[in-house]
Amino acid sequence: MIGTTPNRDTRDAGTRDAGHPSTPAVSLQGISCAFGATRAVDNLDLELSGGEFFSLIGASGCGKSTTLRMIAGLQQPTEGRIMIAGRDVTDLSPEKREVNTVFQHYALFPHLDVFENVAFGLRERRVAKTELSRRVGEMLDLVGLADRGRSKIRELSGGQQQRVALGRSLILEPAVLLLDEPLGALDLKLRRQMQLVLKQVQSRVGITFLYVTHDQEEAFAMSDRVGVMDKGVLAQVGTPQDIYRRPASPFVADFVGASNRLGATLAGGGPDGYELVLDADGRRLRAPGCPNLVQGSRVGIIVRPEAFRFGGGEGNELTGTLVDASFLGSQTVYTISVEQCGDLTVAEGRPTSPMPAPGEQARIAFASEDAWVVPA
Amino acid sequence: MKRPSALAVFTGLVLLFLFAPIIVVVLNAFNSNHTLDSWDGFTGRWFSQAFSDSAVRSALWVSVRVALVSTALSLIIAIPASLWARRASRRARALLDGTTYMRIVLPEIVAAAGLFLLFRRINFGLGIATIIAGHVVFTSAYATIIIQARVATLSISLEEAAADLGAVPWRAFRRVTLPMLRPAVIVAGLLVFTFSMDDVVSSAFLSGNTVTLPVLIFGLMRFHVTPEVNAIAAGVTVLTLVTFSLSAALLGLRTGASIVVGARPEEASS
Repeated sequence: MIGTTPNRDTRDAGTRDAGHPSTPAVSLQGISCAFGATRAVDNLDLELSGGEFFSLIGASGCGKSTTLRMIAGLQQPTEGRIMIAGRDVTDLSPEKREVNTVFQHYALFPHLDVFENVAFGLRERRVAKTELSRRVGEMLDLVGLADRGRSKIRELSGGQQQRVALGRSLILEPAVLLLDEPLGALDLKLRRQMQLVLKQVQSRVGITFLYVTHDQEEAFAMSDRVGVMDKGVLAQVGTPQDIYRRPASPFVADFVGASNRLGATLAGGGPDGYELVLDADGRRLRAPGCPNLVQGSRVGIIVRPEAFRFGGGEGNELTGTLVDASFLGSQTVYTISVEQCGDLTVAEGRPTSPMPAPGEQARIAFASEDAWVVPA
Repeated sequence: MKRPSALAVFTGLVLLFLFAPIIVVVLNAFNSNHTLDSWDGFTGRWFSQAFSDSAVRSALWVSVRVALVSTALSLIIAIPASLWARRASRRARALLDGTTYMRIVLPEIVAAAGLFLLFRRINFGLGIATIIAGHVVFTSAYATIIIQARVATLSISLEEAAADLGAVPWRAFRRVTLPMLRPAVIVAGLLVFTFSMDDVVSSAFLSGNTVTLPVLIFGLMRFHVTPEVNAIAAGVTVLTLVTFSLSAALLGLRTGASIVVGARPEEASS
């Protein structure tokens, strides 16, 4: 987590508690949002600490954007409280909240130039002229648009517009910056580039970022912590490594990347090593997994595609027929049909032994410590 | 020489049909023959005669004042109505649209006669105020339709962004919504101003002893068309053209479509 805030303006340091370790920058306490009979967000609890880069990920319609809009004040929660920097803002209108948003399609003001877009919020705060132009200048520097101050918005590329949107919000030094799929409209290469920009800017200004995206790779690349949302509830919150290696449910395992799930029955043991009976061939193996799994219950063993090795050997070996091989550049993805297990996905970065051809028998194996047990 | 296409000839005839009366009026305004039977040479006499006539001058002044106030009131009604319609429920929206179109479809003479009877019943003296009321009934409807068309193209997220950046609703309106609506507001204003300037029906019913310019012209024409009438008409025509050209140039409007939608050509692409 980013603790130091070298570039933060000292003017506001006294008025804000967000940087204080004991006060969360954002605290959502049982918030819900219902549209008619559907609950877009259902009794959600979440705390973000100061300076944290937190991502909410989930499929479209899972409630992540609604959560963001409730924090911004653009959507009223039907239940629960929202605290920002220790202050209850649930009943405050958006303009009174110490929160700024980078909107999905930027929502830049087309009748104003770049400078005036960035200066918009400062003018609302009646910041004096000289200070205003100094701070806007600094912000344009920070987002790499120093020479575009007088450009019209429509003359900018998508990536540049994105930077204006970022600068326009950051200049107000909010307790938390909300970003609603800000890179959604950019092509892949620019997305990667902007991810770096965002990450760098965030660690320089030390402001808490709450980032919403449906792209788990993007979230993993930038975030200190990630929350996976499903049907209005948080399925899991943790570091990217936690979420990827130790998913709390089959849904999370599927959402954060291709995964293989082998059916099994739990025979005993604990979270550090459950005793399992594999459905496919009745073999017994030990693997770590989620806490609180009940003995005798049906479970799934999650094995990531890259955890498999070809050729068998040590670990748990499975034999099947190679169905398909797709070369993706940095890796080749194989589909192997294993009896009673279905189709398994295996990713191989740099194959060492000769690979089987489609239609041939393939032996694959995984180490028990690379597997993870989730409820079925 | 290339022969003009049938379409070009037809277009030319239509334009001639539309503009010939105006051309005749403007030419006759300079005709030194008093009876206008034939062209007897050029003169500017009718202009000086018409505009030195105190009745014409006061009628023009009444018309300008009526048109200015009607325009202002129409915009004050149309802008909030258009913005409200966007957030209104389906039924409320239907009600607003219904009353708007009703004011346009309803024959003007019906509305004018109705207002006349109303003002008589409540003993409200006829004059400038009642003329303005009569005009605003229909001019505000036209303004609403033009501004609504522009509002429909605006993304609500611009106002959300303004609020997010700390603008209270009134400031968000002043700094974001109104500038975005500006072209449509100007076009609606111009249109409504001219509607009010040349209105005869409502003005005739609701003017009492006050005389607007169109009512005055109408009265003069009852006897015979005099060169002064032509001069007044030519003067008003020129005034209107100049105002329209100026505002079109100011707004960068180039096409009829952009006037209707109220968008600048370069904005449409972004």
